[in-house]
Amino acid sequence: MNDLRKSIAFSSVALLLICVIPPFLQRINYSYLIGILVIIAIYGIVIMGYDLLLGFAGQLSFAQIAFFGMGAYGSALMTSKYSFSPVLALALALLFSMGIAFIVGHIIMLRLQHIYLAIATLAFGEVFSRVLTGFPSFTGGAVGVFLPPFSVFGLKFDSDIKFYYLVCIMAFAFFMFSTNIVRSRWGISLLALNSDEQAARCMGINTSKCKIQVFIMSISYASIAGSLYAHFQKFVVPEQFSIVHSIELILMLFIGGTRTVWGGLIGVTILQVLPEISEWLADYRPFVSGALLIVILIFMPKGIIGTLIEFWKDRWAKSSGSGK
Amino acid sequence: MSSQLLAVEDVYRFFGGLTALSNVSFVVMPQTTLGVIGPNGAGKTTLFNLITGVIPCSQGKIFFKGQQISSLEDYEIARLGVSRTFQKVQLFHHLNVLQNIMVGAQIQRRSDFLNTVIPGKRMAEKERILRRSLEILKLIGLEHKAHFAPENLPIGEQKLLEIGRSLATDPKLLLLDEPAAGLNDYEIEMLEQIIFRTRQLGITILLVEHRMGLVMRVSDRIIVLNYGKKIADGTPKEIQQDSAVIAAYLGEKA
Repeated sequence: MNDLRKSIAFSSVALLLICVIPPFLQRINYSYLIGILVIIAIYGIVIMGYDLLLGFAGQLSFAQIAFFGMGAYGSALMTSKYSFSPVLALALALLFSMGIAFIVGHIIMLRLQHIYLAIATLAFGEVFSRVLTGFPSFTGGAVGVFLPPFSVFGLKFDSDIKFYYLVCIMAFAFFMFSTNIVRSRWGISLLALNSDEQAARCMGINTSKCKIQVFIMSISYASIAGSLYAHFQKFVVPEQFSIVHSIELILMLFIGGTRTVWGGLIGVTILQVLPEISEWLADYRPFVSGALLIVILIFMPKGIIGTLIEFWKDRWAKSSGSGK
Repeated sequence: MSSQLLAVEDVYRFFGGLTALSNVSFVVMPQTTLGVIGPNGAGKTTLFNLITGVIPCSQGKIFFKGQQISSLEDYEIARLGVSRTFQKVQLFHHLNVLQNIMVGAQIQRRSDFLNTVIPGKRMAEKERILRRSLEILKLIGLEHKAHFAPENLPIGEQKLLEIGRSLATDPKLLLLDEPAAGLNDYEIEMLEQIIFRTRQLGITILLVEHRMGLVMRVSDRIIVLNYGKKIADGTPKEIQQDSAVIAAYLGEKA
């Protein structure tokens, strides 16, 4: 009951914040930041999904960006070439991505572990971007594909502000879903799998099934985010989904902290906002984010949020210990 | 015949050219404790791995409650009620002590399925898992360390926690692989109490252990392995007087 009340309180505060930020930014003439917030929310969705796979279940995959691209290209091709409605295109792209994830999962996830899994998914990501450039007649090649704005039942999301509300609501929904699922029986099974797969199996956990499930789930986050991303940018090109961005995802997740749900959101915010602070930071972005990651891994191995949580837990333990 | 809980029939296991187990057969009656002893490398842990499905048998069959389990996956065997501990502690280091036990307590049996889909029952199920886990925590004497990270426990308590995690699955058959290794005298006493409590609960135990005193005290029957072969099978008293066993442990008389 206490948990429920807490989460209602949290939700209302979060939703209120989401609502008041854009008018505030407009007021102080920083409305261009709204576009950045949209990107943060979209990447945030991808990373929350990635945290389930890499943070909770401990399966290192570099294929996340490929599925992000699959959602984006799926939406782009279906809305522009076949004039499907954006929502239908998003759903079909999602189903397609899940189908591919199911097959890839059975071929790669169940057979390979650790570094071999990482390399195989890296190869998958590379193959995906080659496919994008290799079939220009279908995918538009390096020129890419243009899309109409996102719309739901005639309601058009054609400005940054409208899109901001759309993605923030989506990100919030994914956030609530993630926080709930990681506390469930399934979430604990993922952590058990991550800790010791053999012992988890001997506790009756079908770890193979868990791996496929968490892979498909994390891919769903990526695919939906990809569709939103495509509609926001209004065009897609292969370069947006190159393997470099997979590494960026890992940076964001580890800077913020794995296994927290929150961490990824903080990580993506930091890496997106830093370049806005100064031109120098923007020019040397890969260098800055790499250096930041190294510093954080050395001084806060659990990431920013992970370390904060630890800090509060310690304080709490001390204060309740001294109370006895 | 059908009353036996576990039946191992003509089991072989090869690793490349090495024969780890050769023609091993034995049965375990319900609510008894079977000690498995033998020198290092005799195949005791391999036997445990075969029974729990961690690795498949090269030949032979294993039956649990009359059902052949040698073709099942390890997690399926666990759900049937066969649980084990590991020679080298294998706890879930991403979970705290209580959660480690909860993983055991949330084992999914088919009859549980409805409990996990109906929301009202799901809450009741959660409650049941928590209550059961706290009970187990008390049994192994770690209730004051529920929120510790397992790696911060001394090795003895880690071993007890591993047993607790297995007990939480509500097993019919519990396989303990050298539970006393690394334990101090006080902890061994605690372990012995837990084993006796476990027996009182009607759980059948298979015990691999090098501390002969402990094995002799808690076992109803003992089998002895040497170089992958079963060389003796009997009550503790018979085993202690068995010439083949004495030869295996102390070497042949010149």
